[in-house]
Amino acid sequence: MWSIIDSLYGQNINCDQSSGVGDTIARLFNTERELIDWERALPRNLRIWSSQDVLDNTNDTVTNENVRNENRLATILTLRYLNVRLLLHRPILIKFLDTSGKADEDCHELTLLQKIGSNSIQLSMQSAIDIISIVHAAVHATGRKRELLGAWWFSLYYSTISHI
Amino acid sequence: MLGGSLYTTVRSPIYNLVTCTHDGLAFNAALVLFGCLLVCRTANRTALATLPTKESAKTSLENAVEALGVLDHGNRMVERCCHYLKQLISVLDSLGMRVSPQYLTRLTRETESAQSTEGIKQQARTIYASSDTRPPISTACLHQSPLAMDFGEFMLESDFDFLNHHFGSGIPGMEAFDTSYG
Repeated sequence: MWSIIDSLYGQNINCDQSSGVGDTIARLFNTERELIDWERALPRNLRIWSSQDVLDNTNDTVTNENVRNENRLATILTLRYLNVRLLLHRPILIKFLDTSGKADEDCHELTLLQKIGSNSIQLSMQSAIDIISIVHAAVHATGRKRELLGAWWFSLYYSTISHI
Repeated sequence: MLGGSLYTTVRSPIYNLVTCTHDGLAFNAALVLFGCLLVCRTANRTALATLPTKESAKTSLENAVEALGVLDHGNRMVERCCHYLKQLISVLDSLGMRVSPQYLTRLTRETESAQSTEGIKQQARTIYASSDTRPPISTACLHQSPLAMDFGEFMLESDFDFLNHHFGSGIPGMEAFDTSYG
């Protein structure tokens, strides 16, 4: 996440240095490669799940406490991973939205955005749908599955900070 | 921060840094999804052919509202997020992306359980009505809070400018493309 904030959000110091589409995509690809390398290096029991995996593999029939904990951590890690991927591809979404405010948009930039940026839009939509799907399923579940999202005080703590 | 500008919120990474929580994740995901739906509304359909369907995206937005409502019941900030997303769903509905029957049923149930809140009833009536008609988006319409609350609590003036500009003229250079996603 630090790498994404550093390279794609100007270290988050509120200096709006808008870069070109090509430059943004180049940085995005570099970070995407790092993210893939990180994912490949994960231990097998903490691999990133698809949203369907989360829904299928976390049922109440699992009685082993260790396996349940592994499933819970894998679920949380999957949510974090999807969120980082959203953050990574969001600059492309912003580029698309920015074009609505510029009548004199460079047609080459726009063409590049349409050709390459569509993949980012697809990934963003799928990641967003997966996050919502996992959270929605977890909060409506009963029993052990309800514990998938972890401790509630953690949510409340950060919710309070974000509100401040 | 959550009550800040929609456009600013989507742009700022701060939101992600401080809300690595499940309500925050779901809310942020819903905002991104809304932004993607706006882009898809006017973008080249061929280039975006492999996108999830607008129905699944819309259903996800509705699920996000439902999940947030359950996730941290009674939390003022989460309630505001829920209301905020409901407004965005109303905007999509006005654009012709009709809400699902399940969402309407749930909204009606909420309406009945909150009999004292005339504003929510008005929201249900508004959405029912706009399912059959497509009223134009106007600043006046957006300022009129169906929740009987100050809509400015959730959106800034720049949001209205952005939304109106976007809905009014679309993305320059993309008007010629298929707009059937919307």
